[in-house]
Amino acid sequence: MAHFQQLEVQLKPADYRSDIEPTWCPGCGDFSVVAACTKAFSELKLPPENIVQVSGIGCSSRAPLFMKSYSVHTLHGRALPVAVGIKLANPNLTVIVQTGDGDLFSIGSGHNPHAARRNIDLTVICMDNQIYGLTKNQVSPTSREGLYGSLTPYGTIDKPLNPIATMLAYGATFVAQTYSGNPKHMTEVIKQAIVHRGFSFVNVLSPCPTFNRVDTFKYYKSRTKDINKELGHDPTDYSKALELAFHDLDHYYDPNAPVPIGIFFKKETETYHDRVNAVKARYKAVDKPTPELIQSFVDACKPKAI
Amino acid sequence: MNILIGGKAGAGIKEAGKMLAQVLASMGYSVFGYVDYPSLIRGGHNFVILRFSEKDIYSVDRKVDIIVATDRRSVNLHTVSSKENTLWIVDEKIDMSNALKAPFKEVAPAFFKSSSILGVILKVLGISPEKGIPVVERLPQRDRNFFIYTEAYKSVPSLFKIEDKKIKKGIITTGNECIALGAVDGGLDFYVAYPMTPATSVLHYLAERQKELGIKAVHPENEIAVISMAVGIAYAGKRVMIGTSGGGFALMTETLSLSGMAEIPLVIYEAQRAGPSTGVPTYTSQSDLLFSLFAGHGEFPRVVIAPGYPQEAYYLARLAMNIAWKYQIPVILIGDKHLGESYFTVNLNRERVVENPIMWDKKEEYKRYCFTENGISPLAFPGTPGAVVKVTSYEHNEKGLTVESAESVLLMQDKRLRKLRTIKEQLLKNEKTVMISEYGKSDIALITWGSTAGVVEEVAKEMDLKVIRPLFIEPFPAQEVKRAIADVRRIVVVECSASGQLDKVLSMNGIKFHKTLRKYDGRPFFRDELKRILEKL
Repeated sequence: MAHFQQLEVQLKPADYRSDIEPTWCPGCGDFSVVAACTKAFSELKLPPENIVQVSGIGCSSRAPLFMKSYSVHTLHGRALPVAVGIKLANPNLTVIVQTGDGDLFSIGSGHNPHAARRNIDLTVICMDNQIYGLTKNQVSPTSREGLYGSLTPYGTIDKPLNPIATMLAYGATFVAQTYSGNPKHMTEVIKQAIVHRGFSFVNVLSPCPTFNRVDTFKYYKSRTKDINKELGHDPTDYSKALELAFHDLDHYYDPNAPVPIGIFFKKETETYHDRVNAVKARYKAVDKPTPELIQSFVDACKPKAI
Repeated sequence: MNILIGGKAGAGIKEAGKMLAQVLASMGYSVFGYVDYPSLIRGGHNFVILRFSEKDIYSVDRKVDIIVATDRRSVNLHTVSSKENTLWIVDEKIDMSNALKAPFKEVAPAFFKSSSILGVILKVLGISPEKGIPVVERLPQRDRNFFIYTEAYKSVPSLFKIEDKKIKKGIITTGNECIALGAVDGGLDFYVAYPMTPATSVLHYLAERQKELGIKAVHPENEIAVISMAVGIAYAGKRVMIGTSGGGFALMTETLSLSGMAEIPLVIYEAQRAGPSTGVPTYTSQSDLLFSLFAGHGEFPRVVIAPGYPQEAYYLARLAMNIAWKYQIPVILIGDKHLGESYFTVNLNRERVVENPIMWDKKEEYKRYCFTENGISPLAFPGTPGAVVKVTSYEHNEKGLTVESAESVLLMQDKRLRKLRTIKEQLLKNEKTVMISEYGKSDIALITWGSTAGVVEEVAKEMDLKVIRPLFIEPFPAQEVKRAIADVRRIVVVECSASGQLDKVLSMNGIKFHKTLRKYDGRPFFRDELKRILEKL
């Protein structure tokens, strides 16, 4: 029995598609992310009315528009706190954040540690193309050193941020990386992320064919290595996960280094709502106050009779 | 009578003031307490001025009748507050002639002095020791405090005879507590805030009472997360209020605009303090009026409400909750440190008033932003079968899908304008949007707003001047204000702002005035001070 609501009759992936045609460039990695998401929803038998997808601003943040689910297209960098609010208000919903490397790790980066450390049960899917697309070719926090962009004609001098290592350090209880050129792997990882009770982070290497001429499908094709199947990584081992994560970007500097994909870390532990419920039970809190309870509170506020 | 109590920050000065106020209120007096404290925890100087009377009062005087100085610094600092006949009560170690000596330190060594201060003052005022017992009993370390209180009481003579009036006027409360209770009675489910003086006490108050009130108080990582979470909470169908001061509100403005565009109901409590920037964090100001009116990019309907008293704060917070959900808009409740943290004597009649918003009737296909005559589109929340609610910060069509064509942009802007018109018509017609005094036969009228109401209305009553005070700044009750001043010769605008913000709002609405009185030192107007200025007019 899953901890989320499920349909009795499974819907087809196409049933989770909206009638809006994607507005992405031909060859964009994000197309297959939408395909993988709808496939995952179908296989998990999620009721469409129970899915809320929250996005920020950027090419990737358009993804929820192309799917038939509830969605909030928020502001640049603010998908995560809005998603947290939705989950706080209605814990029965399956809340998914669709975001990108600029949205999540540049303007919105301040929210990541707090959502992760609280282990709120939601899934963050970051379409990481190492470039800003919608604002036309500026480097992002995950761009490799030396990448050329419209603001970096001599190549960027900034070091790239490591999404996997950061999220692991912040306390995310499910951290994975997948690649949009591998739909099967991607669907499986997204499914597991949704099923995972707690804060799940999936970094999807999702090439931008228009602006990023380095981190392409061709580049990844020969380099991705499944850390679980090929390297035998056990995702319950946090130290090993961190060690692997620290080598995640080695391929930027070493042409022989692989691009690791797979589940780095996965640990089911108490979620934010588990802790809320524990505290509520301990202090006998109520969800809806009765008139008597309100009156007793009003009386308690009054000074004692003298 | 005005009593000033001064001493080191952390020495229990605020607490002593609150306890004394509670004792006096329990004896049937109306008490008002001004609390002055610096932005630090230990080592600075705190003081409280309490004024009490048989009449209802909402202000204090600068020149006081009794000064209680628990340390030498208080003597130096508060000499300006003394009059010819002021009674000084000073610590026995302080060398001061003509002062009553009290053993504040002696009876309470290495301890907060609140119970010793209370004992001394009650005795001097000729109030029986039993009156203080209920408030002392509520302190932690009850026995120790009770002993200190009794010793202090015995140490000084009785110089006044303050009688018990038997009938209580109300209890001691603050504007912030009343904002909190008003929101709760307006159906609050969540209060989300990042600590910021002077709004923090709403967060503390509600967090302490989550259990009794059935609400949830959330403290996210910053103010941007506060308002973003609130958007998520309201989208999912729960009633939410957020609270902050000017700096935090500045961080929220981008998302304020999102709540306007996406039509998300939000109540924002903005407790002003002296700015700009970090400013004078623990002091008062009315300098965010224009900011609250114009915050956020683009054009969208909003309501801005300015309570002047705790009773109004309660009622208007409750109303704000219902307005936000009825019209699906951000409602800004603008207060300040003076309203939020001063002690008032209030008789609050609580009543739960929760009006349900217009919901989708499930008859036709659901469209989140469906076009209606009044501009209000029915709501549906995530989890509702048969409806797909797409909400967006982009301009959108009825279904909530991004659009850019000229026709569709115009259509949705016009829908929001229709809503704006509905709000204006309905609120100005159905709600009390302006307070106009019944007194005031003279041909001078004072126009003021927010917490400056207390002192202005008290002085105006004494001097028989008319007072006009808008409770709603947006929509602004221009017609009513114009009617009220039609037969007035001279109009004076009184506010705590350096540049004059209310006068700009008046000018925008075509209301002429003759003189402005502005105070901008972080302190509210004092009664004697305002009276002196007005008498010169």
